[in-house]
Amino acid sequence: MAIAELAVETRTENGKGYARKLRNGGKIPAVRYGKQCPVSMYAVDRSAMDKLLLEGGGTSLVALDVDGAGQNDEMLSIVKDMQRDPVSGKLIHVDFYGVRYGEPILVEVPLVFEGKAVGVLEGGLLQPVRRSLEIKCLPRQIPENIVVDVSALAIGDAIHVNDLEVEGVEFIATANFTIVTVQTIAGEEEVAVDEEDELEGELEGEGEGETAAE
Amino acid sequence: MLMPKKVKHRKQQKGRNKGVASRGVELSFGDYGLKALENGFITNRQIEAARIAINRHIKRGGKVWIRIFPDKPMTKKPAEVRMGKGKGSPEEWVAVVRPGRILYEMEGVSKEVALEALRLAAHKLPIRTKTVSREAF
Repeated sequence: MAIAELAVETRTENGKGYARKLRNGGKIPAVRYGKQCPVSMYAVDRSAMDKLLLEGGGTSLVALDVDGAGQNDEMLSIVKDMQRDPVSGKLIHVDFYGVRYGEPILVEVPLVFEGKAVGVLEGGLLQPVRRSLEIKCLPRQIPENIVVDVSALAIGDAIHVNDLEVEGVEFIATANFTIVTVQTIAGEEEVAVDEEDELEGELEGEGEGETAAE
Repeated sequence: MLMPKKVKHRKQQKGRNKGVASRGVELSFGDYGLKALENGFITNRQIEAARIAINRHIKRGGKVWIRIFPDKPMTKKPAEVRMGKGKGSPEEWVAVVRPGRILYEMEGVSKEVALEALRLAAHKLPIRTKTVSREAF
């Protein structure tokens, strides 16, 4: 698999005041930690990070280029966690997890549903229950995504985690949970005026007659 | 309309509604959603009106999730009543919304249909909103 490259700068300061200054300057604070690597703080260019994520860097290996020193195996990482602003959706913080080639790691990989389900052609709705799965594998074997073929699914059918098989990958699942299912589409239900009045009877003191919102 | 089945106390104090949302800020079920950009109270009638606007536009097909629930009772004094003599009677239920909160989610329809349905729904709500999609992340 391809290893993405990302330039980062070491930072010594922390706290919300410093983090705000960084963000106003187009950078975001980041940390790197891992099993055998010390916790270290970095600043990353936000646009570079966005570009990395667009190119699939969210699940691939990332070689951190610290202060322009070039990439080396010691700084091999994966993106472990990201925080986004709840309103704008912009990145505000990134966690990197230090990995080593020989040690298996836990990583969250997105699911991609391929094909047109039989049930969808019959008028059903493909309903993904999970959109990513936690897997355990060696860093070099992290798949970009897990492809799930849904073409054989009829209405009411489902694919469970135990149905999936990917070479070199172990799925971390406590139960055989559902991944995707095909459901029937319920028609639009109109709320009746009578039903509304009946429900609102629980509230005391209502004066005016209820009218449907539609 | 949405409202709690049973409540411990019939009347609540107004409270304050500051800051941004921390829960329910990401798309969890569908591919498209409507995100609040302002804080405010959304009544159960407004929630229902927006839901009907979405369902009317998408006709059959697709699935809609309502990500907010009106669990706060709002009271009102009758018209032409002098101040005092206690708190008014419960009139409606509202959902307390802060910026960033996902209000509705949709799936199973094309992007154009979904965004138009959410635009129509936004007109039924008392706060500014924006449409969000999964592909944007």
